[in-house]
Amino acid sequence: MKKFEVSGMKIKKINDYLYELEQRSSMNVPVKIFASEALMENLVKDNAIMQAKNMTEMPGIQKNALIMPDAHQGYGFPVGGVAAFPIDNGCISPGGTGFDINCGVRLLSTQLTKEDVEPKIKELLDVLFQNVHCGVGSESNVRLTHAELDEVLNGGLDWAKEHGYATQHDIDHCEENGRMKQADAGKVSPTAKKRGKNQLGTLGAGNHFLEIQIVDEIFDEKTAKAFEIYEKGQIVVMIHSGSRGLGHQVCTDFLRRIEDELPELIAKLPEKDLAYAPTSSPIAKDYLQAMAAAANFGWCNRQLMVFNIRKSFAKVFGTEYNCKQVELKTVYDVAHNIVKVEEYIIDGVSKKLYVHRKGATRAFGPNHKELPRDYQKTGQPILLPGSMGTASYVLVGTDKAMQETFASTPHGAGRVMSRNAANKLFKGEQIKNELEKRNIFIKSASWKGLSEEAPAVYKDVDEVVRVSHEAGIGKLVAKLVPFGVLKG
Amino acid sequence: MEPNSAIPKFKYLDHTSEAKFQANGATMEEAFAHSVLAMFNMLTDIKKVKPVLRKEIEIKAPKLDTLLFDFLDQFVVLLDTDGFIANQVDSLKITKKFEMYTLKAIVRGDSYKDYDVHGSLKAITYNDMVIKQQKNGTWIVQVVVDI
Repeated sequence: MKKFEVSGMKIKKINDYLYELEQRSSMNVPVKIFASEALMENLVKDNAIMQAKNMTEMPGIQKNALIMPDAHQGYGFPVGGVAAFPIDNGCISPGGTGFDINCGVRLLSTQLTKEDVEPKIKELLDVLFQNVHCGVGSESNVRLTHAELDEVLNGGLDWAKEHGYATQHDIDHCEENGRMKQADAGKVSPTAKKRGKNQLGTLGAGNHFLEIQIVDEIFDEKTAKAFEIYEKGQIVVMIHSGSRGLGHQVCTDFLRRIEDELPELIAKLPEKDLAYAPTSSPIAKDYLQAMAAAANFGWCNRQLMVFNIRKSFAKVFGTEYNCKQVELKTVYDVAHNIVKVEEYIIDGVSKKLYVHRKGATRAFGPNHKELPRDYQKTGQPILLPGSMGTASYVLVGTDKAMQETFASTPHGAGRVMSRNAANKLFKGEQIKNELEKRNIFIKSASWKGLSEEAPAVYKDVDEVVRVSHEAGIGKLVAKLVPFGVLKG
Repeated sequence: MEPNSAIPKFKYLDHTSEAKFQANGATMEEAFAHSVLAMFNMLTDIKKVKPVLRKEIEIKAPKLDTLLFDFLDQFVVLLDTDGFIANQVDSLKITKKFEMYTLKAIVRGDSYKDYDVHGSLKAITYNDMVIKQQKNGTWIVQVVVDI
């Protein structure tokens, strides 16, 4: 058995999928790491585990600081870090949410098959590329006044439905029904609004993508059927995007405000990005209202892309194609950078907690009151985006995740190679050609964006998913492989 | 910092998920100026950008790292709001009075639209931030940008 350690601290193996960092007196709770030996090899190479140790020193942290199988070093919290704090005497950390508030995933099911789409895949990508704007400076095709932007921030998907961009079915199948009610647009700075104003419905760049995917394998037929995934070869559509510049600026603004208003607290931190505010402080309250507004923007952002994707499919296939109805239905929409109020049993007592998920997906098990009626029996759909050219997965939330990980599971593959190193190793054109040989078609706003996102720069998503499944914190439902990819 | 000055003095370092760079300068002010160029050169080859637009920046902060953070954050915002790509720093002055730093800069560049631009700037972080004078008297500025 291989022995792991970081910065002179030993890491104990609990079982094949769970490790624990040696406890030090400064740590209020243990660090638990969900990983296999193969994933641990990478995890100990960067700073992620030491950043999780820093999380354990925060006030009021409950049970464990958790590291998901796809974790890597971030700023403040690691990406793939989960921590929960009591709502009355804990703390809130903007860096524990991540800069891209409500970065998340939407999955749409279709009645089409690979054979239906194959003759038109390039045309479809061209039309999608026209309708869904991506890359640097990409502008929305919706023009919002300041007052309308505030309605988006406060109203979330209710705004989208009122304006014909969303259906009731979309709302019912979205986390929080696409609207966090505590949102207050007044708590979002004018700068943040200015950054986001013309970005609603745009994909962005980096690891964000829009993919036409093929159902490649079904592991759990009954659950898959409940999620509108019926057979191998079925076409589905996945969007991975967030709250764009608006959300990033909300995080920046609040990190800076904590720095200005709580300098004594900042001085004691191992790194400034770990900045937090006591839950009872005005900063924490304001942050939660601003974060909720940014989250609502994120849901509307993905919803407007859905609207444009539906328009694009209708243009290419009509409303009926090969005797099949062309209808894109929302399977689910879930965030993986967010703070939520949730209730868990701690030492036999039910407690309301602020659960911070930074690069982790919520994974509610069956019968959770916040799940839509359609998913009460199955548990929550978990949508794990892969990287360009690799598989994505659908999993389902479990009771074990409820008990052990504050209902959290990974959020995707997680990088292993820097963009700098990737640019030296790969060329965008070469990656496009190699993927086309494998029948994966790419449309990108830039070549260099492609080389930075080469499949080899990510962790093995198959291994990340296997660990979730074996550890029981997210059970395998279906494997999706890319067919057409749109990237910024 | 004369216009069209020699090769910008910065280099990129490995960071698993984000972008990390180190800018150098004969003075701290020059290192600050080069940090802007390093940041935009991640998005496009700034040597090809025409310095046709002019921006005046003024930042006040009680600490140097906060000054650098807020200075670079201004450009992250300008990219989203104005599509502005900086490629030349005409002047950059840092003064200190009553425990407060003031940075004044004149920066030139162009709108992204005419260039091959990729990636994005999400936010500046304090992660591994360094502002340091070297033994030989030159200055280093190191920043991790969330991209």
